[in-house]
Amino acid sequence: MSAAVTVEQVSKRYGARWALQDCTLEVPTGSVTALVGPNGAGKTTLLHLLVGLTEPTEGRVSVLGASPRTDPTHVLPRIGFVAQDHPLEPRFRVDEMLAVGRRLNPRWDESLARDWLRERQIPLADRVGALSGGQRAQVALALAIAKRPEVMVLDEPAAALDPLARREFLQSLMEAVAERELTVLMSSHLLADLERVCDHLVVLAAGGVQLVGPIDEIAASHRLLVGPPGDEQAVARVHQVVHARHTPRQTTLLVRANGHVYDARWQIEDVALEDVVLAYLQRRPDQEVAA
Amino acid sequence: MIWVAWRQQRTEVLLGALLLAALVVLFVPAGLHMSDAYRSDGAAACVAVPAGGCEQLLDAFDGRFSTVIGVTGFFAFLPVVIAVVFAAPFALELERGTYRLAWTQSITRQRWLAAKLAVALGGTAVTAAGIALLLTWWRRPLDHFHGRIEPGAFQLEGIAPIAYAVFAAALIIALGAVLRRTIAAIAVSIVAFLAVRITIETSVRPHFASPLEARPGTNLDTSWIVDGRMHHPSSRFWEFQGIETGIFLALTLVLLALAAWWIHERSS
Repeated sequence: MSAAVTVEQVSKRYGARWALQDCTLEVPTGSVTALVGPNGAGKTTLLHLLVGLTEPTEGRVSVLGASPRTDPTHVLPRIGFVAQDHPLEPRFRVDEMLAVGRRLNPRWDESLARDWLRERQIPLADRVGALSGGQRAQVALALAIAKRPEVMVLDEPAAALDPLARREFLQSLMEAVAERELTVLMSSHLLADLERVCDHLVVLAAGGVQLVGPIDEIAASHRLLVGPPGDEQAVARVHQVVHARHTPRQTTLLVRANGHVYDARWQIEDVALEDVVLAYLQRRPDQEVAA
Repeated sequence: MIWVAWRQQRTEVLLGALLLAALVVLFVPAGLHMSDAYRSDGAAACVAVPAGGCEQLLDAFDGRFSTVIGVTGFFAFLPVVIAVVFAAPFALELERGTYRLAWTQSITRQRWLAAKLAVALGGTAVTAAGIALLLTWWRRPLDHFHGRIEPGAFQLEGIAPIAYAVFAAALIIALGAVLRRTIAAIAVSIVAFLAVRITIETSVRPHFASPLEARPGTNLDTSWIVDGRMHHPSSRFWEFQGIETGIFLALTLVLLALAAWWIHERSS
């Protein structure tokens, strides 16, 4: 399965601040990938690089085999982008927003957009500024889907929505994914939402990629080791210790297991995905990145 | 994209048309009245064949319309008003980030910018042209005995006001692109516009051509006196309009190039 999106050793600097440092990752074609990280980790910067809104200071970005910044007319029609806060024209009516999509995109499916909005009971004659947050998110999503893209990139699409609107939005997105072959890359700082819909994961923290891979593999390969207080050297020689917590009574290690863990001193437990992600988010930038 | 830009500026185009309509409603009756008075008061006769009591007659004519003439003194700011109407939304779009929607459809930034500029500057130019036409027509009687080359009339008539407005719009657009703050862009643009206008009017325009030295006793009412007896005759009006327009359009092009470069190179 080839990669829809390739990011090679990408760094991005704004003035004196490095927003991203030496990021390398691939988004497999057909996957639904979650981009997870705390605020300020660089998620928006990374997504903006993928849609040509900015360009890397170092490194290369390639979407569907081409650079979105230098080759926009070939790449952009195939990418559907929903930016943070779903920017729309507040003075336009909903059907005028669809006209924007129709006029600015070579492949535009007007009936798809209209059906989409009708199914979600969003009136075409209303002004965008008068819609609720959830309705605006659906309009932004409709604009991206009716382009008939091959890749969907969404920047915290459900962040500003109430729980019901968030659930409806994710459901709509999953329907779109099911109906046509789409690769989806979606950022969020709410892992619980994404766990249900995503099959791939990228953890971004402090401007670097901390973890990349299929979700079931990640869940299967990480273990929680609980044992007597002591050092982790023996374990660290064989497995990768992601996070260690030492108390006077016990030592807890979260490891990425390199094969089976043979060590009677430790009690071995499965780890929930959320705990794995949290452990990676707590790593310092100078620690090694998981392959 | 032209449709999108036009739809985005629909309200501004209406505002520009309203502004023009309001001035038409004010100045057409006033202009007709002034033209009538010009003929019936004997001012026209005075200009054609200067005679003894003409000076008082023309002064009286001026005094009669001094209010309207005084109001047009403030019209030096009209180009800025027009420019703010059409260019401020552009700066707002850059400040709020709503341009990201258009930049991630399927068109290039250049095409987006070209369409936006065409509509904003086109609307500015058309509105300014309408107002310049109106004021040129209104001023005909006054031009007959005051000439049109002195700065107060020069800035309202001909094609220079169009260049002023387009220049002011380009200032707001360029500063909006660089600063990403609309209010700051407008404020700095107003200051910069005034600075450039005043500098060119006082220090550059007198040198557009070598001033002529008038023989003692010549009537210099229709000329622009620059120093003592050195003057520019009214016949140089279109020559000076061309040079002034050229300067402001050149400055506009520089500003647009700056805006285009900034938008193309600077990210997000």
